[in-house]
Order: sequence, then structure tokens, then C-alpha cells
Amino acid sequence: MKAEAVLGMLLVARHRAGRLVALLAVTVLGIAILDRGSGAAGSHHVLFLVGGSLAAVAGSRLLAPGAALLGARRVAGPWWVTPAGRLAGAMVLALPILALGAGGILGSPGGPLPILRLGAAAALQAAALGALVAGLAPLTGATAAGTLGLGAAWLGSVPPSGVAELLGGWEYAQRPAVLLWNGLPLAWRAARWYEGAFSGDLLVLAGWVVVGVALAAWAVGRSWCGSSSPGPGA
Amino acid sequence: MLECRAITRAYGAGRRRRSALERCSFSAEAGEIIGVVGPNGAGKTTLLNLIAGELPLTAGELWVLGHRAGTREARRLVGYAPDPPLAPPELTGSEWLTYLASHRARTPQGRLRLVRWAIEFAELEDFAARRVSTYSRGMGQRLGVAAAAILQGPVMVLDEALSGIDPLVQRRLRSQIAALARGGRLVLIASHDLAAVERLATRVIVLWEGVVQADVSTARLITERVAELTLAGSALSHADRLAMRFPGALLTGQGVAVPLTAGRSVEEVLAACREERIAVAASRVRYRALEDILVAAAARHGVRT
Repeated sequence: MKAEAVLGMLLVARHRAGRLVALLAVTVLGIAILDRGSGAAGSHHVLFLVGGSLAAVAGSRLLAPGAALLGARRVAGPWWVTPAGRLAGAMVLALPILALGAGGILGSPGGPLPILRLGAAAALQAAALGALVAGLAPLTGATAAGTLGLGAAWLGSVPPSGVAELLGGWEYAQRPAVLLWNGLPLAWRAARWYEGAFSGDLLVLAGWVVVGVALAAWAVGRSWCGSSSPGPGA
Repeated sequence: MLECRAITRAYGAGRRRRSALERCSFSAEAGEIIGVVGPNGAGKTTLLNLIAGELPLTAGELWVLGHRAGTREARRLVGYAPDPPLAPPELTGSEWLTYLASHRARTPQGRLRLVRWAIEFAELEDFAARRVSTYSRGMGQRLGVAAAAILQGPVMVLDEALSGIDPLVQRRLRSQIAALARGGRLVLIASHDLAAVERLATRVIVLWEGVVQADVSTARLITERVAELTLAGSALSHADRLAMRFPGALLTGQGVAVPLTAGRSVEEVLAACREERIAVAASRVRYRALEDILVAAAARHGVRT
């Protein structure tokens, strides 16, 4: 588990996409913190956006087709160790940014509890999204999985009611879209938990972490993974 | 240890179906080093990918120590060095080896010992601390071999693992791989470097368009001899006549290579040349080489050699 966590950290921290998104995250958080004085409502959504973006990019690297996936397929151990370990490694990198971001956005007036709540909500949502993206990466490729993850991170603050409103003219699309929005580990759910402490939201997000890890383990361990066309050296 | 029964791997369907490997059967035991040779597109990489469990079979059965290839159990028995070598470019060679070793050694000391062994095995000392992204092709190949070896599986599958490595290191690496085989591992190595395969392998499988053309022991190669005749000037145009007279003879760039099998002697071949009034500029007797088998396979398929 430790070896997987260390590898997860290295795969994310040493990749240029991981570093770039971290830079972007710190910049956006910096702006949000500086903006705190203006009293803008809902600035905590920025933290979910940052957490989701970090998780999407990190998740796409953990089991990217190539060496990261090949290594996972060759090593022994219980089915969940590789995805869970690598995800934990990636989260170790994301947690300080999220914790500092939560502290910076909320400031000290409310005490440490709201900061902890916001940090925990953002971390859990990031872990759920990261696990899902890590599970998709061996199946769709790292770029596609990362792009889907980033899309989910950026659009995820829109609540299902907002989606229903947006798709008001297309009834056939509206229903499945709202269902999807209700099911996925998106930022609106984490924000709702932070704002209202509905514990069902926490359970759904935690459940997605388990689902993502299981999906990743299945994608790594399935009896073949591969292209439908022969490689150049076939 | 390894059992391939009529394994087939095809791509596409209907009229677009193309077989990369067609009804390939062979078995292999611990201690063998099997060279897999053939031209580009012969199915070498496909065969190794199937054994390593990285591709599904279209038909047939493939067993690795009693486990069906491609299952988790079978995959963990196979150390695989693909071509091009795969190691995360963001990591250093020793970080990658440490990660792999951590799944084989429980204690930090055991892990360290294993990593040191792998670094020595593939002579990575000079660049193990460097990022993989800075490696040359040969360095990457050596790291790939070390990664396949460090997993300690009873089967090692190496795809073009010796190419791009300088001759002296390659020579030492060959002896290291041979030592692993003597220790009870089964090694399969695909390569275009026929000389290296001849020196390393105990047995060679020749693939052509996905079909096994020959499965010979390299020990048998050195019991067979070939008379190589260099024909001068206009005599070259009669080379095919001579080749037809001796079954198994092959046209070479400068003349004919006649296998000295079934009691045939070089004197008999030279006498035939005199009889046919074909001027021989030079002749020599050499051991049969892997290249002869490959050229013979090409000739059977009407490919210019």
C-alpha cells in the first residue's frame, strides 16, 4: 500500500499536467482568498472546483495506459491495494492545497469547524471524482478520462434543478441528465452537505470512492486490456 | 510450464479479418531460452503479448504453469519487458525498480537487496538515479529487462530487449539471462538480432505471417553444415539451376548455399558444379545459421531474399 501511495504521489507530482493544474489551483484559490473581503457569497464553490480539477488530472495519471497500468497489472496484492494506494498518494498532494484553501476562503471568524467541514467536503468529493477518473483511464485513455473529469469538476457546481431548468425544452434529455446529475459525485452534492449537513450526501460521495476504486481494480485486473488493432511490431 | 495449443489472434471480422497469429502450438519447460524470430509483422510481439496476458486469444488455449494466460494469477508469473520499454518517464530507474521490488520483498532490506541485484543484473549503475525520460533506447531496454527480472516470475518475456544495447553490455546481459534460465526460469525473447538469438537461445521458433515455420533447437543448428559457393561472373545466372538440383539449397547474393544433409558432401556439390559447367570462384563450409532457416521460410513464401 505504501509503495502504491508513493508511486501515486510521484506519478502526479512529476507529471507536467499535475504541476500545471496545481499552479492553476493555487492561483484561483489566491484570487478567491483576496476576494474574500468583498463578501461574495458562495466562494466555497471555488474550493470544490479546485479540488475536482486537481482530482481529475491526478486520477488520469494514476492508471494511465502505459507503464503505470502495466506495473499495476504485473504486481501481486489484494485487488483494491493498487487503486486505493495510488489514490491515497494523489490525495496526500491535494489535501494541503484544499486545507489551506478552506482556511483562506473562510478565514478565522467562524472557528476551525467550518474550515474542517469545507476541507473535508472538498477532499471527499475530490477523492470520489479522482477514483472514478482513475477507473476510467485504463478503459478510455488518460486524456479522455481526465477531460471527462475536468468537465465534471467545472460543471459540477450546477445543481440538478439547474440542469432541469437548462434542459427545459428537451424533455427526453432532461430526465436522464437530471438522473445522471443526481448520481454522479459532483460538487453540488459536496456543497449541499457543507451548507446543510445532509449526511446522505456524504454517504453518496464515500460510496463513489468505493465504486471508483472497484472500477479501477476491475479495469486493471481484467483478463485483457487492449487495442483492437495490432501494434507496429505485431 | 508453458503450453500453447493452436493459439490464434485475429483482428477485425469478415473480409477484414487478419490473423496476426494462426494456430500456433508449442510447449516450453523451465530452463529453456526460446528465441522468437521472423520478419516485421510475423506475429512475434502478438505471441509475447498473448503469453504475458496483455492481449486476449481469439482461439486456442494458452496455459502458464496451469493458469490460463491473461488471468491475474498467470500475469503475475510472467515478467514482461515490452517493446518499446515501458517505465514512467517521470520516475528514475531506481524508483521504478523500488516500486516493483516492494511487491516481491516484504522488508526494506529485502527490497533494497532486490533493487541492487536488478541494477547489477542489467548494469544500470551509471544511470539508475536519472529520470527515465532522459534514457537512450539501450538504457530503456536494460531497465525493461531489469524490471522483468525483478518481478521474480518463473517466466520472463522479452520483446526486442537486446536491441540498441552496446555489444559488450549485451554480451554480459546474455550471460545473466542464461544464468536465470539455468536457475529454472523460462525465457522467451523476440528479436531481429539473429546472431544474438543464436548465441542466447536454446531453441528458436521461426514465425512467418503468424504461422510457426520452424521450431528448432540451436544445438541442432551446429550439427548441420552448409556449403556456400560463390559463383563468378556469368555463372551466377546458372545459380538457380544448381539450387534446383539440391533440395533445400538457397540462392544467396553471390551464389548458392547448399545444406550438407543426408550424407551430402561438399565434394559432391563441387562435382555437380563441374558437371553443369558452372565456374565456382570460392567455396566454404560453415554451420547452418538461423538466417538460413529464415531465408528458407522467405523462399517458401516467394519473398525475394
